[in-house]
Amino acid sequence: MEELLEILEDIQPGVDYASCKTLIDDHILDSFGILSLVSEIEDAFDVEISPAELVAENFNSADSLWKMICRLKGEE
Amino acid sequence: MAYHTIAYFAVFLPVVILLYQIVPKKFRFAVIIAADYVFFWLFSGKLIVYLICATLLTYFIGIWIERTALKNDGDKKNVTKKKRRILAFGIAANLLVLVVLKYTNFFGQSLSDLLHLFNVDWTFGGVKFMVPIGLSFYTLEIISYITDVYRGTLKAEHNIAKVALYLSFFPQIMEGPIARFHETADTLYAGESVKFDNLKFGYQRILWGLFKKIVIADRIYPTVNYIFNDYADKDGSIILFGVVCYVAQLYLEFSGCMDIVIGSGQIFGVKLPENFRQPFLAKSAGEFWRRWHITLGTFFKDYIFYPVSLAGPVKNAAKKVKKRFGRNVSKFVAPTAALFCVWACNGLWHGANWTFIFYGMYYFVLIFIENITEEPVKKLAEKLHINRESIGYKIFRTAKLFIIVLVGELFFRANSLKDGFAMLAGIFGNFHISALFSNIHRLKMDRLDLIVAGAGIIIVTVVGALKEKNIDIRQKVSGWVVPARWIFWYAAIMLVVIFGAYGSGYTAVDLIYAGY
Repeated sequence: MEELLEILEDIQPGVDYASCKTLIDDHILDSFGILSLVSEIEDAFDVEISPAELVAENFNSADSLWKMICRLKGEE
Repeated sequence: MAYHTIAYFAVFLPVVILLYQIVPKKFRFAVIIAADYVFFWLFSGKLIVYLICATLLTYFIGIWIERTALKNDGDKKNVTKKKRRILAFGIAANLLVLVVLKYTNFFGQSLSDLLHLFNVDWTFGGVKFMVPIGLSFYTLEIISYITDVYRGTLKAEHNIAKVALYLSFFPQIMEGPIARFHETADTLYAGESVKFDNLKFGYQRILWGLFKKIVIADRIYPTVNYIFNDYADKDGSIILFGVVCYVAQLYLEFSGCMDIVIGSGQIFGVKLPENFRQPFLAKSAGEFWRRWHITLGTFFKDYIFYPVSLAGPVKNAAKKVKKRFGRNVSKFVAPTAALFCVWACNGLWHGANWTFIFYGMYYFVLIFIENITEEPVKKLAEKLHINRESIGYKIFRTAKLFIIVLVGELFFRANSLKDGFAMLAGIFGNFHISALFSNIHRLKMDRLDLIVAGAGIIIVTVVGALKEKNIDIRQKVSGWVVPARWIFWYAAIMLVVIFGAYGSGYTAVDLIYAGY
């Protein structure tokens, strides 16, 4: 989780990722931000994120992102 | 029987509502399907066979993908491969119909022109195809449905009636919005009774749409046609006036039609997705497209932008760039490749004409520039102590957006690419504002037209500004005392009846997006 928070901070600094639950709904992460995040997550956690995963439920908070990463790791 | 005609909102729609309401709940979906097919038949006659075939194909492809996924023999990769093949077949079959019917002549003519450049004497004779209404819209809905089933985010529908309801719902068949399966099918199939509030709010929304369409947009239409079809001997100021009028006409007509469509859906309890969200209050070209024709934008985002960005070759290219130039450069590779595909498709989707392809590429370049300059501009503004929230900066930003939109729509409406460039040259090279003022009454709008259109645009602007601040006029009015409420709605109806551009002297104006 620490590593994920670092990635998020690196991509879009100045957001309280530990508590924010509306990264997509409030347009904090736009399409470009999402793609940068996907690329970094894939490299850091060795998972493959498909277009089907690019939904608000998975990207709205650090917590939901972490759950997605754990699920994808479990599926491999 | 387009949506803005009396035949639709005063005859067809009430008859469907009545029939829907009087039949037992379990048969109401059949009334909607019958209404859908009658509506389609009235425009396209026998071409309804395209819609029926597309519905059957969509239904079977969905089930085929689901069955393939269930036959999981432990080899997940093999199953995914098989599912992908079925999806590719489904998309290709539907796109083939769209491409053949809409683009054969364009591609044939373009090939013929290209061969002439190499002195090859082959001329494309042209083929005449009849195109069913809504083809471009329901094809995208089909792609959305079968892709979602493939991705596993949607279960394949085993009730063909729901697939038929999703693809043919009469209020949205002509101009969208491009809905997702879960947004319409289940609600339409459920056949809940028409609620008084839905009926009231639905018809109020229809009235607002009629105001935009027949009081303002149709009034401006003759001026737009006159200037765009005969711009050669006109001053740049008149051409610019024509472009401004076209932007107003296009927005008011398309968003007005969406009001009628969404209002019609609301009557049956269906919450169709919004297609516009005050686009002219956007801060950039990119944001403008997140507020204009929203459902087309989200379709392209979900089914082209993300899949292209995450495609293996694109990701590999981004990794290579990252190794060589670092993350600050590589982060643009995937989005730019995907953005190019999105805008090429956006341009082509609007029609088989080079003006539309140019329009798509125009926005691709602008949004690409916006993306790569966003950070440097932010830093520069900080360095120069420019307050980006100041009134002055906001005015600059709005003026920039208007210029971008005006130039884009000029090419969108121009009769050819050559005409578009000639008009643009006219605006910049031969501009005398006095020419516009001295000819203003000779541009197919008389004094009353100018006053009504101008006042109408002000009303729409004020309502839009209030909506941006989450102030809903309809909700406000519904809280008034009964006499005040009745006076308001009576006045609104009278406004449309008195100032609507119809009757003798006016030609019925077709819906622009129904042609796409």
